[in-house]
Amino acid sequence: MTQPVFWALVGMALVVIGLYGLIVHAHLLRKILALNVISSGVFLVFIALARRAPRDGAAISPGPDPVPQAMVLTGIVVAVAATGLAVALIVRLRAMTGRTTLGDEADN
Amino acid sequence: MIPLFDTSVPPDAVLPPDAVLPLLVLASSLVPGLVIFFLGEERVRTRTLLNLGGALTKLALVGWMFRGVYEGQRYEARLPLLDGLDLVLRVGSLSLLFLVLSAGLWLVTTVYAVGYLERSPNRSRFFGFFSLCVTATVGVAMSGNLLTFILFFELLTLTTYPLVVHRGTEAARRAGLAYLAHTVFAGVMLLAGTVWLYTLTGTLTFAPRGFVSEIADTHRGPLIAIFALLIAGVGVKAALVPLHGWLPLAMVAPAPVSALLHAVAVVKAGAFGIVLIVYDVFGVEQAAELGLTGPLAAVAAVTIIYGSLRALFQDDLKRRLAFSTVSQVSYIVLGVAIVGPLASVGGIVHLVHQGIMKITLFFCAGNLAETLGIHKVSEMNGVGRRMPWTMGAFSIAALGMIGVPPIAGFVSKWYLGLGALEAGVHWPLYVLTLSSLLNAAYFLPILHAAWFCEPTTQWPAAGSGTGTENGKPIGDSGRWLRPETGWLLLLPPLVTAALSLLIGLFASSPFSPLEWSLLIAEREFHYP
Amino acid sequence: MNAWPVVGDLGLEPMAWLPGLAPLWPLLLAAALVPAALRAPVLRLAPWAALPALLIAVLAPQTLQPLPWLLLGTTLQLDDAGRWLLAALSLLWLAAGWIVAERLRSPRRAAGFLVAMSGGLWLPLTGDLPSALAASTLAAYPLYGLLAGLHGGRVLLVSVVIADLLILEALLLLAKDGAGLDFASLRAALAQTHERNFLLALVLIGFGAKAGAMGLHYWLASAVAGARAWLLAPLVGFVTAAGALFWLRLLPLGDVQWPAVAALMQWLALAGGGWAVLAGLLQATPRASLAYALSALTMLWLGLLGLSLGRSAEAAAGMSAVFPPALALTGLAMASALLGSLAPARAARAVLVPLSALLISVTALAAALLAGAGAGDARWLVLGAIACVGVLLGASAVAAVRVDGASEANRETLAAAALLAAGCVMAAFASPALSPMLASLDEWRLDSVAALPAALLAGLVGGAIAGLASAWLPRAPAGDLLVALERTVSLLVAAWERFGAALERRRDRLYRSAGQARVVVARNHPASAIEALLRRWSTATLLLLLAAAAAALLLASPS
Repeated sequence: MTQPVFWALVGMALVVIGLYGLIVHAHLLRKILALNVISSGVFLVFIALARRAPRDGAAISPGPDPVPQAMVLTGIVVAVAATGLAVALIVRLRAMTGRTTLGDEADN
Repeated sequence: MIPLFDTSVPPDAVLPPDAVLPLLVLASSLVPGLVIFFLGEERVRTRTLLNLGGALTKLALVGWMFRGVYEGQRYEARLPLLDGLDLVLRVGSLSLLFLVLSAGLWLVTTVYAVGYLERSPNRSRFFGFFSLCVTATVGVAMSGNLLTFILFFELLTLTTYPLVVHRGTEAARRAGLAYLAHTVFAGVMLLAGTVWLYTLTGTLTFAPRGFVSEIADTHRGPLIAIFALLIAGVGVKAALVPLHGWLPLAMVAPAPVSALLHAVAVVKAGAFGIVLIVYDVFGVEQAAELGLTGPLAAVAAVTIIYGSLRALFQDDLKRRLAFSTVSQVSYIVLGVAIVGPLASVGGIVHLVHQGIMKITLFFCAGNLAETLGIHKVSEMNGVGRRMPWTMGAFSIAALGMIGVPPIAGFVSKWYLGLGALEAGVHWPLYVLTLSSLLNAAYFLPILHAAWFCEPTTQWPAAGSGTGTENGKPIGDSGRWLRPETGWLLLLPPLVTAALSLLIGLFASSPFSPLEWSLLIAEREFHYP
Repeated sequence: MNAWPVVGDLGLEPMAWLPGLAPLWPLLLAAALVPAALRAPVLRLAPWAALPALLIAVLAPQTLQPLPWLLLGTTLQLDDAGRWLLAALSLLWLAAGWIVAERLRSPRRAAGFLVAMSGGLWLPLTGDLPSALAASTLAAYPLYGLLAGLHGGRVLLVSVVIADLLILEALLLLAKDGAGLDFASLRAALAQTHERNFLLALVLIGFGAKAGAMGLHYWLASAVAGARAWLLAPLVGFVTAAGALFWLRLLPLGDVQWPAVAALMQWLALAGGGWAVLAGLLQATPRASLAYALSALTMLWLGLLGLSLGRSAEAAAGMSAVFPPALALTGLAMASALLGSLAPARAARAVLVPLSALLISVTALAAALLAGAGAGDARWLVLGAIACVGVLLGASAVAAVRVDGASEANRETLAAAALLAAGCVMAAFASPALSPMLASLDEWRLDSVAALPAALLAGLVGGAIAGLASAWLPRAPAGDLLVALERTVSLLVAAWERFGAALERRRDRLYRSAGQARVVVARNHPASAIEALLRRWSTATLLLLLAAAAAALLLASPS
């Protein structure tokens, strides 16, 4: 297994774990955490696969591709902002209804 | 000299055949740990089987590697992580010392934990994290470069936090918060130092005599700053003053956790990290030339004295033992900081000796708390009559801490003193003497009170609840077949106390920790 | 570096291992106490566990067996000095065992008895200092346990811990240049070291504490005064074997000539003897006075050893030859005196105690003569020391006759008589070796030869008179200055604790005031105030203008 494949697999594992957490946990804060884990996994896949193609005749690539890395940086900023917004919404929800889970009151 | 490092292997190569054993050692506690997480609470037998099976397997594997390393065989497993940096697990004589200590004491602690937590909730969670904690410890022991070291070091933090807050009480959570605050902060400093070092040297692989010698002349300032960062990062776990604040707080954890944390995993990993940084990253002569060993020795001396002084005035037994740990682990740092082969032998062998003696003390403290509800020294009057075997083990370990021959502590103090004299400095000798006096001052009154004072409270009789019993407390003519507490709680401290006595008595026999430390000094540091 | 040991290569002759049986047999018995089935037979064997040691001391040949795999590399040796001491110690422990016999019923007490015996019997057989430390540990800590919480026991423990630390320091300093750890190498290292005075002080104080030398005698006086009868002989054994014996082994007699050190030691001997007299005459019981006599005896040994340090090799050889039998004999006689003072019948006391005192006096006299105290400039120092011993012995003898003994002490009486007889037998064995040396002493002048016995006799008589008059003397507690010392220590500890508490209060006050300051500051919401200020148009415009001006300056300046 080569290096990029290894890290990509790790990223996929993170996405799977995050997805499992997103589905299973009812508490909204935990869902947000799970979403963050998913985004970390996605970023990892991006960075692992960020390579330039080797030049003609060369055996190894000259270095990482900066564009996916820039995209990841942007993505981190977006994730932070979105998380902040989501947490503010959760706080507001709890202040208004006193609950921290979604769903009808008839649901268990 | 057989080269222990081979950087000519390209990162993407197939793993060489002698890479299996290190990975197996890791797996022997990782796999049981992961499986235990998914076991139900009531599957006691399966869980115990997995635990003990994993511990015995690990011990057997380490024993196999022991023979291999003694014959000069190389063990190395590589996993390519980044360009130019791999995850390297390699086993040399120094790693083997820590490995044998971890594996052996993990087995003993597992037995003890099974007995201690017999009726507690959340045992699957506990044993899962317990196994992961030991995985992280052996990973630290087998690390071949700074990156691997940091990885497993941080993993150790994460796996020990749930153990500290296991009880879930308010005090436990506060302790866990303090623990996390200290160790995460330390991890940041460690990472910063490592990254800076990597940008300067381009490599992170541990090498005998260090790998910074080429840049030492041109980058003196940065190297000094890097050393400070690395030592601060590792020193939090090694409980150097003033970074030791988490250790007494973490005593709220159950006794097996305190025993493991303070004898094997966290504190020893920190001390081991200091040994690696001074010997395999900087090289002790290079560090001395940069003027780094003097301040390190001073910090170690201050810690030794401060820890002993604080321990004098603690009434809570585990807190007293915690401050004693703070003091004793700095013996290792002192041995490392004194530039000389004998001092390093003293420091390295104290890794083993202090681990075994301290774990005995914590086992006994746990026995007292679990069987009789004793948490304070002032409650310990007369307990020697009620629990003679436990207090006997405690006495042996305490005398070893004071440095009384023929118990193991004497041997490490001997080599530390001799090493200090060999290096031409006399003040460590006075520090050691003062520390021994202070140790005696806070251990001997406990022994006196336990053996010779009258009990102040009424304790439940031994073996009560196991059938026909006439209610008389077992005195000193007790039949040995009715133990003073559960067998699972009694055997581990007896085994470790006997070990500390035997290791000291036969210190110069082949394959004693002392002889192994002399071998380490000969092989890895090229000293005559 | 050791490879796997091959049994045939170890080069063991069976006889060389024989002395190891002496300390090993009591240890095996102690280990055999664990299984309940063996407990009864072991308890029957325990009082006689010193018998193999006695046989070895009498019959075994002189051997030297290195044990490199034990501790830091030890040696097991049976030499002349060790032989005398081993015989004396085994006799003392046999006496103790006989006295305690069936009262040794509890396994814990029996285990303590056996381990202490094992340590005591190991002490004369050690060939190097680390194993001597280990043996002394084995001997002292169970003794503290057997003293069962007596005040003297605690002082013993503290003294032993401090003494061991001092001895360890001395050992490190002596062994630092790669010298061996056995006594011969240490003697050579001491003879040639630069830090001679410091090391001598460490050695003398360290072993002096265990020997009950005055100034460090507190544990001995309290322990002997308060211990149960069967512990008296082991205590004397400990003092003999763990203390002055190692002075002999470590001091480089005959290899050096240190007149200044010699003079100092003799002065200390006199001073210590005087102190012992002062404190010993004021003791309430004959046992305590005898304890002070033992301390005075130790000071006499110190003085005689000092004398030899300033002399030539032949004179020092005399000291080395006479010292071990003298130690052994005085140990036996002192134990006999202590046990005899407990006899219920006055006649028994009147016979045993004075005869023991006589034996001690004769032995001390012979030792002093052979050490060359009969001549020389400062011989009056040794005369004074020996007179002090005499005073205390006389006073104790008289006191023992006058004060009633214990009621049920027949075994003690018989044991005392047995020890006295054994001492006389030992003296008979020693005299063939020593009387030629006495006869061939160089300086046989009438005044010198007569001076020593005269001093001793004067001391004995003076002590007897003082003993008779002792009813009108005030009483001092056993361990005289110990009371003052402990008071000081507890005051210091209390002061430290108060200091620590005051520091903590100061620190807490600091935190609280810092917290209050923070609250006060936060109440004014400084952050929002600053934000409000920044939001105003005037401030924003001003800041923008400043930033523009700074940028213009930076860009316009020639780079």
